Amino acid sequence: MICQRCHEREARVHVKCVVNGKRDDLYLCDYCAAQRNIDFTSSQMSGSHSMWNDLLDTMLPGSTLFGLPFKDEDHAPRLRGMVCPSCGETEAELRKTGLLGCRHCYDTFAQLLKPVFQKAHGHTCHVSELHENDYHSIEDILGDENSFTE
Amino acid sequence: MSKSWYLENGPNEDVVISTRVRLARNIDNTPFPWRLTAQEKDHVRDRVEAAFREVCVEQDKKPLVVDLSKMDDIAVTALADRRVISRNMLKKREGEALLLFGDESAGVLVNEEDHLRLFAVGAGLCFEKAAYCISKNAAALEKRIPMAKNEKLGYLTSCPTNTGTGMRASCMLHIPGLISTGIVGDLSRKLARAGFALRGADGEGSEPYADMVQISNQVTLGVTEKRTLQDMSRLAVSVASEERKARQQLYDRDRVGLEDKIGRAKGNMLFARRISSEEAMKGLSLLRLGRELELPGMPEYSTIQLLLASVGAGAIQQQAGRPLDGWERDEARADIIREYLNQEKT
Repeated sequence: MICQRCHEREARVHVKCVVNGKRDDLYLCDYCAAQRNIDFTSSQMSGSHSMWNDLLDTMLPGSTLFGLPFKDEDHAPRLRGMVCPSCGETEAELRKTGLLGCRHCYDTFAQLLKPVFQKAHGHTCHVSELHENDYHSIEDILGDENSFTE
Repeated sequence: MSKSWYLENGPNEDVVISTRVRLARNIDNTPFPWRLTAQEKDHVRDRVEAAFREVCVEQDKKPLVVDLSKMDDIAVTALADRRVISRNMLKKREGEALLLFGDESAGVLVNEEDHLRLFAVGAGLCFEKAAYCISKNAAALEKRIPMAKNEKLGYLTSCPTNTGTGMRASCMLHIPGLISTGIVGDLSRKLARAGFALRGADGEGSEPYADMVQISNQVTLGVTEKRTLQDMSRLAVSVASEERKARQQLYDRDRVGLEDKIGRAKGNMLFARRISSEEAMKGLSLLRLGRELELPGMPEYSTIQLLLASVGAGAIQQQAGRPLDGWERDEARADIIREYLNQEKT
């Protein structure tokens, strides 16, 4: 089902509203749900495609994030169901796609990403000889055309 | 358009077919492409295109803009045949665009996995040249569009495997010697341990064909751009040296047998009336090996490169100007190969 707000993304959140005694159902994608400040931990969510189902699926024994085995500490309750406040990406989406939604996801999911960086790169911090906003300096770093083979 | 980059001669061309460097960048404070609606993607594309056009004016280059979402399947497949875009871009093209700085040797793919995927390619082993070109373009674009980055993690990308430098440096190698002697398996494992990958010619998930493989760096975090390029360059030189030894061993083991195989491939290429894609790739690999071993009567590297870029399903149908069925494609492929090989003789 397509999100009833943006009409673009897949609806993954089912919101039940009661206005003046009349019940209304709203199906939203994670992004639009986050935009409307819907509390993901509330009991308003239901349905077979809810984020919680995905989350629980990924927490089954042997499930992985980017092929990495989970450790018990990864399942700490405080990490469960995290949502990026900026783009609305959920932890379940991250586990499913392996993709981050925006620059703020790096802060939101920092604890999940640390072991991913360690495994993929062997490092968790960036090192650059290229100073910020001074990319032109690569010309000095590279030097002449034979500098790579030395 | 100037002569295509893949028709040029490059250093170590007897093993290294081409070099490619790409940089992944995202516009600051904008969700990454997979989180955007079609309208938002269009907005990103317009913003990048406007900056790109300014850079082209500054660099005195002719801007070429290709709207991938409006191109037919044949034309897009032809771009993939020439390795301008990756095969996985054939599926989903909504809001995606290809911006070229004058020719197909440098450009930007917009709204793929990241907002911007800058690339620079060249013939032979030429990381320095490609890096110089791409860094110039990246700097010019970043001057106009703030990119998502921070001090701790460098450039922030959709996939955490690209975070940091966002740089993927790769080269395409022709290694019939290492493949037929079985050394390639060992090489692949050693490279993986050192943080590099050896893959099929079409990149991730692809199988090697025509004895061509791609090597690339995997680590983008905690390592500088310069170090990555130096390592890749040294690695390519070292693999090239091993490949030359392996080829010589093959040749010394059964000189007539190898010459016979290569000669038959040339005969087949010259006289067959229908050639399948797989047969063409195998044949061209053997002709390339013949050239590398300096056997007489073998085509120039540029002709082989031109054929490799011209015999894919997309390129053939584009040249024909209409969709062709399997038999028609095989016939057209044989005609193209014969024509190019005969052109060279005259």
